[in-house]
Amino acid sequence: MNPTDLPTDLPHEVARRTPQPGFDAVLERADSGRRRRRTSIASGLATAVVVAGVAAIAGAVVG
Amino acid sequence: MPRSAVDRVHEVYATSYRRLVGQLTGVTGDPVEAEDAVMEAFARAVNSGRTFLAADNPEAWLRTVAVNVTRTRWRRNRFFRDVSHRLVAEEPYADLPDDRVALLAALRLLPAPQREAIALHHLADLPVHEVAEAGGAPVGTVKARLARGRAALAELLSELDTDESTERSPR
Repeated sequence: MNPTDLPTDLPHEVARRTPQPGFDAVLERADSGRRRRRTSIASGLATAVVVAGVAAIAGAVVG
Repeated sequence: MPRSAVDRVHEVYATSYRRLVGQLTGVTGDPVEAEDAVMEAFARAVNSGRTFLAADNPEAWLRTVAVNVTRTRWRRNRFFRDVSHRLVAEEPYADLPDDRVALLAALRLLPAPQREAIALHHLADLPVHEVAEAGGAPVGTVKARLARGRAALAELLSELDTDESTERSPR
């Protein structure tokens, strides 16, 4: 296929039609991303504590 | 994060958002999905602070992040893909010319690495080395993907064209 056969103005056609949300939408999304990351770190830490606790108890019982 | 980083993101958002959505549309095969990936890239730029400030080419930084977001979603989330295909005919893109819609349909049928290479090189006009940087692949690999992608795309476009002609012809 010859690349010149492609309608290469597709990106411009799309860009021309794309609505641009206000910058607040970016800030809100960034904020929710930060919160999501904090939550997954906290839940990862909690899981690690539980696993370590169970391992310690199991070790004590076996020992 | 320093206030100036948010200002910088804001500045780039004003000038590059639409262009990036246009470029990513080829990569996703869907403008609505492209909007979402680009928005996510800007949100990550806000959270990255100094990393974004240090980028030599902020638009290229955002494009790479958006391509990575797209790639991760494509791999992990079939549901998202199905939803986005239903949205493609919605406003404001419903009046895209038929040949562009056919191209998007054909691009969606390509394997993701080929689609990414074709979209960034032939549609977004990036040189091969920048496509390689955005995709985290060696230049030789990108060239091979372009060659295979062009062949596959030619076949798909001619199939779609044949299907359309068959539908249009009187019985």
